[in-house]
Amino acid sequence: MESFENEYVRTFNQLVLANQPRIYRLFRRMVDSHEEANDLTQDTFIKVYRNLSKFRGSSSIDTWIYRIAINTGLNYLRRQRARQILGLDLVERRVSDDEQPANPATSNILRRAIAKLPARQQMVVILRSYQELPFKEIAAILNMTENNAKVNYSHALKSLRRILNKMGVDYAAL
Amino acid sequence: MQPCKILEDLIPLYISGDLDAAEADRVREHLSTCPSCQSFYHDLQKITKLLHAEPIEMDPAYGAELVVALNDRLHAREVRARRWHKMMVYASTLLVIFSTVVLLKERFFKTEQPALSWSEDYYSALLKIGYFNEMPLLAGSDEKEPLTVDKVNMVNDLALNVLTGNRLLPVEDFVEVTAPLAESEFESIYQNLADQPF
Repeated sequence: MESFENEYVRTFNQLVLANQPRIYRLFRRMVDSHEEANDLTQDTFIKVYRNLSKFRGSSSIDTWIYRIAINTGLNYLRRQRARQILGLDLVERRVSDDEQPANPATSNILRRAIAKLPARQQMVVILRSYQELPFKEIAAILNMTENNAKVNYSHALKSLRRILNKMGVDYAAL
Repeated sequence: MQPCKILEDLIPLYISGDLDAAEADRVREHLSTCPSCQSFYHDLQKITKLLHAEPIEMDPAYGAELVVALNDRLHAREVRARRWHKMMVYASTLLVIFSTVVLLKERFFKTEQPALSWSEDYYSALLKIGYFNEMPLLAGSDEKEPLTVDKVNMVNDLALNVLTGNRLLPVEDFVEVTAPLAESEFESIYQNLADQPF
C-alpha cells in the first residue's frame, strides 16, 4: 500500500506537470528572462506543495494555483520596482536590455509598455490576452468582481495605447 | 483623436468579445458613424492582436525538468529540517544533562562557604571597617588608633578581595593577608567581617 507521503508527492507532481506550461508562460510575460520565470515558477509550486493540505476546494485547483502564482509574481514585481527606484537594478536592467527576444520589434516594446501599467492592470491584461482566461476566472484569481476585472482590462488597454503613443509607436507599421 | 467618453470603456471589451449582444450592437452602430472612436478601435485592435500573436516557446522537457528540480529542492528542505530537528534534540539533551549536573552539585556538593554578592551589606561592612574613610579606624578596635598607610592598604586589599572574589576569604588567606597587622587589629577586622549578616 502506498504511504500517505508518497501519494502526496505523486499528486503534487501531477499538479506540476498539468499546470507548469501556463504558470511558466504567465511569468515569462511578466519578467525578462527564462531564469527569472523559472525561479518564480519553482517558488510558486513550492508554495503549492506547502499549502496543498490546506486547499479546501472553494475554487478549482487551477484557479487556486493561478492565485498563488499571481501573488508570487506581484510580490516579485513590487520588489523589482523598489530596487529600480533605489537604483539597485541598473546593471541587471542593462543586461536584460541587451537580450534579444524572439521578435524584438514587438516583444520588447509591448513588454516595456505592459511593465508601466499598474500591477493589477498588468495581471488582467496578461491573464485575458496572453492566457486567454475568461473574466469570470480572472475575477476569481484576482479576488475581484467580474465587472471590476473588465473595467481594469479596459483601462489597461487605454493606458497601453497612451504609453505606446508616447513611445512613438507607429500603429500603421505594426 | 480621443474616443467618445461613453463608449471608450466598451470598445476594448467589444474587441475581446466580452460584451453581450445588445451592447455589441450599440458599439458597432456608434463605430460606423464616429471617426474618433474608429481610430481608437483600430489602435486597440492592433494592440490586442499583438498581445495574442506573441507565443511563448517552451522546451518540451521543461515540465519533467521542473518536477526533478522541485523534488530536489523539497528533498533538500526535508534534509535540512531533519538535521535541524536532530540538532535540537542534541541541544535539549545536553541542556538536561547540564542542568542535572548543576542541580546534583548544588544538592550534594554544596560548600559550607556562603555565596555572597555585592549588596548594601557589603557596603555597610566596608563602611564599618573604614574602607571609604580617608584615615579609617579599625571598627571594634579598643584603642581606636588610626591606621598607618600600610594598614590602610592592607585593609583595602582585604576589602578588594571580598569585593572581587564575591565570597568571604577562607581563613588561611585571610591570615596571610592580614599577617602584618597586630593580633588585636586582625581579630577586630575578622570579627567585623565575619559578623556581617551576608
